[in-house]
Amino acid sequence: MSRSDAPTERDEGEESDDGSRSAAGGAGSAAPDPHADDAIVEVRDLRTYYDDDGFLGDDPVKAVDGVSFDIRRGETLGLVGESGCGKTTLGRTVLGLEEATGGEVVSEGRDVASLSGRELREWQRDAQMVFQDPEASLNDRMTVGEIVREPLDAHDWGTPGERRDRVFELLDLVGLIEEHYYRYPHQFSGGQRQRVGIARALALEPEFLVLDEPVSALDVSVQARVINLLEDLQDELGLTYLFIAHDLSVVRHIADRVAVMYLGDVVELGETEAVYADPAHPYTRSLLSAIPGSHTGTDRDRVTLRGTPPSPRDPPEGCRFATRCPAKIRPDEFAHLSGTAWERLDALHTVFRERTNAETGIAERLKRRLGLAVAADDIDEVVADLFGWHPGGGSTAEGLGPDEPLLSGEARAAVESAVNAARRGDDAEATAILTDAFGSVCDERRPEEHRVGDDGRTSACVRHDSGYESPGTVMARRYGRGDD
Amino acid sequence: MRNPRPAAVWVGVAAVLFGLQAGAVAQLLASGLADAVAALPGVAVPAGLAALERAADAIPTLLSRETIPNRGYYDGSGYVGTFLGLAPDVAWLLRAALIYAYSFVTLGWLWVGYERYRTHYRIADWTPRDDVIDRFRGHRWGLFGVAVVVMFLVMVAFAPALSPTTTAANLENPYSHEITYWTGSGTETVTVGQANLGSGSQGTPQENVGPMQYDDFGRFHPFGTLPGGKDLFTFIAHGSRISLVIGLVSVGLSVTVAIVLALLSAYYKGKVDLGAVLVSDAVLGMPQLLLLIMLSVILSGTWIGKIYSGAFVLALIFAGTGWPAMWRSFRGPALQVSNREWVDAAKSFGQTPTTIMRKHMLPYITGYVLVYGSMTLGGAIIAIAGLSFLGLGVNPPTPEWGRAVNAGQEYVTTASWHISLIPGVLITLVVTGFNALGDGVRDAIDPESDAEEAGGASGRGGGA
Repeated sequence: MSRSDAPTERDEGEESDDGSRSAAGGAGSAAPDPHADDAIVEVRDLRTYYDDDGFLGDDPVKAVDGVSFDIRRGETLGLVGESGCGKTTLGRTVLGLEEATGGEVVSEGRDVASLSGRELREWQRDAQMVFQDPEASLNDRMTVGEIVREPLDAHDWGTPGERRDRVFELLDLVGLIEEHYYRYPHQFSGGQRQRVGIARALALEPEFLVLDEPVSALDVSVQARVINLLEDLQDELGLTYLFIAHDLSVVRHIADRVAVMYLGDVVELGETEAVYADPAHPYTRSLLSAIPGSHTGTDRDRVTLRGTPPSPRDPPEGCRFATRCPAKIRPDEFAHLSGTAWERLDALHTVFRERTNAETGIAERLKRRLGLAVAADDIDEVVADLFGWHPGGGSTAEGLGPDEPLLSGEARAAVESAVNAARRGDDAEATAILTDAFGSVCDERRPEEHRVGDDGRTSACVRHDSGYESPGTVMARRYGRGDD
Repeated sequence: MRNPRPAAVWVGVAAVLFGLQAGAVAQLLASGLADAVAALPGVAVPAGLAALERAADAIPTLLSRETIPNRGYYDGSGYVGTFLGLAPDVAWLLRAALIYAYSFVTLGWLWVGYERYRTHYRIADWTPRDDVIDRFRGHRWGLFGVAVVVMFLVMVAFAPALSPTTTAANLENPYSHEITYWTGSGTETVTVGQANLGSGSQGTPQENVGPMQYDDFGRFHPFGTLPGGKDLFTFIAHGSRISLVIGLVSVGLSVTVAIVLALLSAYYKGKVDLGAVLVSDAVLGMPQLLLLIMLSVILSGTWIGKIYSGAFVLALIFAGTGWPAMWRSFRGPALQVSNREWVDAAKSFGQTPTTIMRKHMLPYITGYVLVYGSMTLGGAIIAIAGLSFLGLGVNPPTPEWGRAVNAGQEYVTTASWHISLIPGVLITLVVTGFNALGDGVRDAIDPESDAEEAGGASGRGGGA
């Protein structure tokens, strides 16, 4: 009861500006865990593919594609990434809400995916989930009391009287009062509803909670209170959290370690402060530089992530991030090309890739098969826009394209042959020609995890191999301003 | 209980209200039980049941023809055998008015009970259902529907007490019952059958007993008589029972099938859903009217075809052909709710599928069930009337509205217009009432819903 008022004293730090919040959060949450090696959940090469059983036998969506990590007892592991990168699916698969396509989730020696009967009930008690949207995750035809009680009923926990008392206890624990037992979710604010969701998740005394963006649907001022509640509960009950979020500042505040996900893959995993202070993977660097105000006072410059992630139905063969990577390895023979030229080559590559994957009508497909005319105008326009010449032989509109020719010699020849393939309607061929000419080791193999730093941090980037410049150096050179 | 007074007062008044009609309830239960046993093939009604029926009949009931009789005869100076010596029409009107007054008072008292519970005893000070009820109370079209449906239901429940005469005497065995009447110079006794012969409505002003008129034998007919001289009101009041029973049984069965299938297909999706789609498409592909005609002919000689004069078979056929349309209507909302996060949440702590369907999905489709159920009920009533009009369906002498319409068909333009018009208007009114009730419930549950959206069910069955 008193707890509902208590968070105000803690809010001060939350509502101040970003800089001091990061500093405070860093000091507060980086405390090393005494049981650092005691894993509560081990995720091994986990894969979750969605097959929408279409008649055409489309490729499955590879939402999670070969992920391995440990969650240590008592820690908070943050899981960040852009929307659609598979972080929610990963959380749901760990709990068994989605069926894993491959790999395993091991907890205390049992593979969670293959549990049944009594062991499954035990796991359902031990691991719970808090959902993103408290509007949607609470059945609004039930009273709060019934909602919180439901897990107890489902597991035949104690006597009905004990269950009732337990619910009152839980409501108090999350900062609600006894009267709320008889109210309906409609009568609560977003923050209070999320407290109900947390109380329900705690009902069966779990050890491990998956928090799926638990505060992203809430107002900023309420976010801080719920985060503080979660931290208090962790201290009090010795909980382990998998905290999924796209808000990097929240993760920095609450997480002990952070895993960065891109297109179904964990690209970097390490102690939160170390990752935030000196990100190893190019994607992490780009992501962190996107936090407003984050580059002030550090040696990093803002690196804008271009474009959108490729479709998880057909991820790039090599490094997942290769299509957008600001530190991508480039072939030596084209070392002389300018940064702008590379940017536009990447853009053209993306266009061809997307055209390959685009859903086309049957008539269009037939035309292509038969080698009939393809609408080449849009390709011509793209090329004119990017490189300043018109492949169809038409004239370039005034003011379109770059001021000076970007490509010459072999580079131009390669682009021309790719464009010609695309004009014939063969976008796959066009993509292959470009990859062939301008690709590198990044397009060929998936990078392994490398240990970086001495605190057990891992990062999956080819540039960590000896013989390559580190991502940080390259990004500073390519995108740095002046001489830093 | 902290404050028992409002509850005690309510229970006291409710007990008095119930006590007035306790005999009728006992009779209904006893005769229902006896009918159910009699419906079983090859089973004779045990003597105990018959005794039970007689005992129930002996319990006094306020609103019955025995307490307020309207049958009597004029003996030259006054009425003999009617209530307080009143004229038969006045006695009948008094009884009918009392029955309706009693019914509305009882329903009003139930509402008072709900409000007392809400203010004094319910712990939750607000529930989502309160909003629905409050919205419904402000929905005039829906309230009109409630009024019509309640009046229809009262007619169903009190059919024997409302009728000016009994089915046994007037419709089934008119030649084994006798009446006394005033010939103008003295009293005479004649069988009901003979009296009926002289009081039919045949279309000419000489041979017509219209609404609110007496026939030559001193009998009062609120709705006039049929061409054969039988009392139209008695016929309609008892016919309403058949309409409602067929409607309720068919809608109840098809709703049950549709709900179960909708929940299963929405929860398990995939192959279960596909299977349900295939089966329902196959059933929808069958011509309902043709099937009805064929089956009612084929089954008319069998034991199942004889239950309740063929009404039971009709209800089964309606249910068997009606559930796919219902299932289609429930499937969408069920799929929607099955994708809600609270279903996931329930799965995450290991709730069983049946409990998830019951607690987390069913409450969200009951609204649709009420809407489609009430509208389909109206459709079923029309369909049964239509079938009887065509000479199919419920067998004579069991009264049915459609048969009354049929009987009066050739007299529509004559003095005996009432035979077709009154039951026709009543069918329209009752069906409109059920549709209005459905509209009101839908608007109350989901105030943003488009009025057109769920209206598709209302036309069902109208083709028959």
